[in-house]
Amino acid sequence: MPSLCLYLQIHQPYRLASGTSLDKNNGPRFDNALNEEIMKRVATRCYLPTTALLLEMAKRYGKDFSCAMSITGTALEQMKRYAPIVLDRIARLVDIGVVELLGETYYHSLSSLDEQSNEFEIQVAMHQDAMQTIFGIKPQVFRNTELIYSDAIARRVAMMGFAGIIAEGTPQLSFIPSRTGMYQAAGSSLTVIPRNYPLSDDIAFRFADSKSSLPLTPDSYRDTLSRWVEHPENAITIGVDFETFGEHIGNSTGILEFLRDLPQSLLSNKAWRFATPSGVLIDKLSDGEYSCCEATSWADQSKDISTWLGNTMQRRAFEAMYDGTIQQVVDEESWRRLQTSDHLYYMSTKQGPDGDVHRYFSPFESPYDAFISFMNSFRGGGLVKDEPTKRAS
Amino acid sequence: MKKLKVLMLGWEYPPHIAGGLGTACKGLTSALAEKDIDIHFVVPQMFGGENAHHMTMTDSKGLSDVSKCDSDCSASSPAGVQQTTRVSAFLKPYWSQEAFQNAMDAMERQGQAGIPTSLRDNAVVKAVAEGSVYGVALESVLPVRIDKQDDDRDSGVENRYGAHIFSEVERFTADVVQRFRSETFDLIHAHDWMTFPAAVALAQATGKPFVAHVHSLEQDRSGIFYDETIHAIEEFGLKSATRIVAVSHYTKRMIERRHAIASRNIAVVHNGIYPLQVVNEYKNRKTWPSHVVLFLGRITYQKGPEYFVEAAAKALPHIRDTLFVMAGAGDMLGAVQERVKQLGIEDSFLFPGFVQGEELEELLSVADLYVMPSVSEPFGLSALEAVSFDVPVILSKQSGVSEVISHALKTDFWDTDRMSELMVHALTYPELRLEMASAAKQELSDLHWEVSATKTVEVYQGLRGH
Repeated sequence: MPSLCLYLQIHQPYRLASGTSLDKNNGPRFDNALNEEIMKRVATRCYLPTTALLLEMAKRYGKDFSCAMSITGTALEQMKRYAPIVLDRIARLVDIGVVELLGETYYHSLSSLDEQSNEFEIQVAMHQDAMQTIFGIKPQVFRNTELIYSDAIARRVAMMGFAGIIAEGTPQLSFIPSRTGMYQAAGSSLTVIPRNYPLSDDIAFRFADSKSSLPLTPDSYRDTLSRWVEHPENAITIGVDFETFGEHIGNSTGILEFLRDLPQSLLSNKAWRFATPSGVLIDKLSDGEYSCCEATSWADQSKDISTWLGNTMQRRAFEAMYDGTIQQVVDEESWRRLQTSDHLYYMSTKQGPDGDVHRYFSPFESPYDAFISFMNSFRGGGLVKDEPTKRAS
Repeated sequence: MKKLKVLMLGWEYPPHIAGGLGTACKGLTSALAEKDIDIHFVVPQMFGGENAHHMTMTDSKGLSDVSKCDSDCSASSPAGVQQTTRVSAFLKPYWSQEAFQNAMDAMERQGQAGIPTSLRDNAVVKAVAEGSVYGVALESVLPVRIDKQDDDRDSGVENRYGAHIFSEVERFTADVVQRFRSETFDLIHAHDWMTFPAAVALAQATGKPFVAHVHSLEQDRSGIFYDETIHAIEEFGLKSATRIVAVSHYTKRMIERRHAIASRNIAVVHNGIYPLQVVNEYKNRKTWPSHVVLFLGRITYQKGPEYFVEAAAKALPHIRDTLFVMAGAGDMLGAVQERVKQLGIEDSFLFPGFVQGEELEELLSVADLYVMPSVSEPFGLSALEAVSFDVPVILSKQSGVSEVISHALKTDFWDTDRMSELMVHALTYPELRLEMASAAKQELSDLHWEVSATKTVEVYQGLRGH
């Protein structure tokens, strides 16, 4: 019987205030009002109804339904402050065994791409601590920021004791034979669980597409899923933002009903079973070896890191964060909040459909305002001793 | 009114291009078609995939018309495909120096150097000189120049353009004349030297006016190693043209200088993309300060010059060695200059008055940042011009152009604090300028070509009576 592994990502960044001031600035200014507003809005539209639904599903399906969730530290903090009920519900879902929590960097950062420092390891440990303190668990499977993956990252994750990692199921993976659909990471003991992106995008991007001739129903989705199964031992992983349910896609589209009824369709006739990532690891062996030198991710059509480091502004900002700054940091908390990948995401100048998605998420008027506000955070010595703007040509 | 029918001669077309010429032809013809100009575009050969649904496109044999259709229909024509086999792989009219050198080296290694195509043996030149083929006697400079050429001319130079470039030009000329001498059209528009012989011959055969469009000159492409034959063909074409279009004032002056042609017959139509080579020529003319910030427009209330000055004064302590250029004349000029003196920043200001032509091109070439602080501005064409020169722009939210350019920094005109801060940040981070400029250029490509097409139509209209 094939397994479906459903993984939902919860993340909210600390958005920066738009800031161009030259004199008064003394470190980063986060837009607390905006962050509160967004957390409350998303809680109302998504976190509250969807966690309520998951609890209802737990009652209805018992142990037959399960899924994975990953929650960033910055989302946890803001939830705790502005929507604590959501946290309580997630804790209950974890307690009753419906939800498995994954490990990641506390700040949803790109620190895995900085090979000079151990900032990545520090942030993963911070997240592990939070999982232990709030939920009393130790994650076994890792999920890097937007599924950024490479051999080098896999080695670092394995060193930290994780057994598996979710990575984007890029087309190149489909050329490596695997009976189970899982892979052995080259040069480490880690099992790679690839996300099936066409099937994930069916929900995340195409669910509400009115132009789509066939509306997605639990039954039609089950049929689509079944067409991907090549072997009864296959495990298929679907990964989407938690915010897909109610925030990115409005409740009026019926997306919550879709989620509610999906298990019923899949479980009937014992056609499928639900599995969590660590459950998949125990049940099934990884197969072919997967080697990946250039980092991949689940972002944009290019499935690489150009989302965050595609243009010269983004690379400059990345340098400002890591190169030679780490030893200079005065305000660690703010510096780590600035590492959240969203800040670089807002600076993307990609056009076309990818650009539309970037603009949807950005609180800034333009990528240039995002860049200025970010770089301006380093001005004035509040954040780092030797502000990187001094290197300007 | 009857549609103006243009027979346009080009050498390449996207996606099969060696240089910028094909891209320019696509941009210009697309925008001309929007202006209801009927274009029949002729190239030596088509490869399939040319997306030219806005016009009729033919290869010079006329065997594979792609008439108002989408891509790939030419590929389905066996005759069209067959034609591609005749083309030499070295048929690249605009090789870079580097690519040329590499190819030369490769040819030398293979012992292929020295395939001289003496222009004296060139049938077109003979025909044109003798006036025998088309029944037209062409009194022109071309045969004279050719006679000066010796057989021992450096054959390597011609290889830069492909081993068979001259025979290709010859074939193109013969084919074009044969196929189009009896067709109806109002004028001939030819792009660069390769198409000039065909244009001249066809103009002679039909009596139609001929516009010679210069994207670059042989001497500018190749420096001191320029090919004399090409130079001669170029000059022959330009001197035979009814009207000349140059892609910049710089190019216009080069045409005057290198070919001794009167400037009054040369119109300037900027391409959507301003040539980098020319920008660099201007930059190298003299030493400019580290940063140049440009205000361009009349010095009147509507343009908000005083906000520019106030913002500059606030920015200057953070960005020393910056020159603020206010180009323009107007009723507020005196007051603005007075205010600059009062603020004690006159050393950082330049008031060149009203600028145009080459002077304007030079300023746009050296500017690092363009600021439009307009109080009210129906559109703001000069911002568009700045973008075509790769200059990033700061726009007042009150300017019409700010609705068109999303890849810009924006401010209310009265907010001189923000304006000054944006100036400082833009000058501090070259990455910011680079990304803004290139994204804006991409964004405005269609608009730029619209402007080019308007000017081109003016040139066409000026041909009446010829």
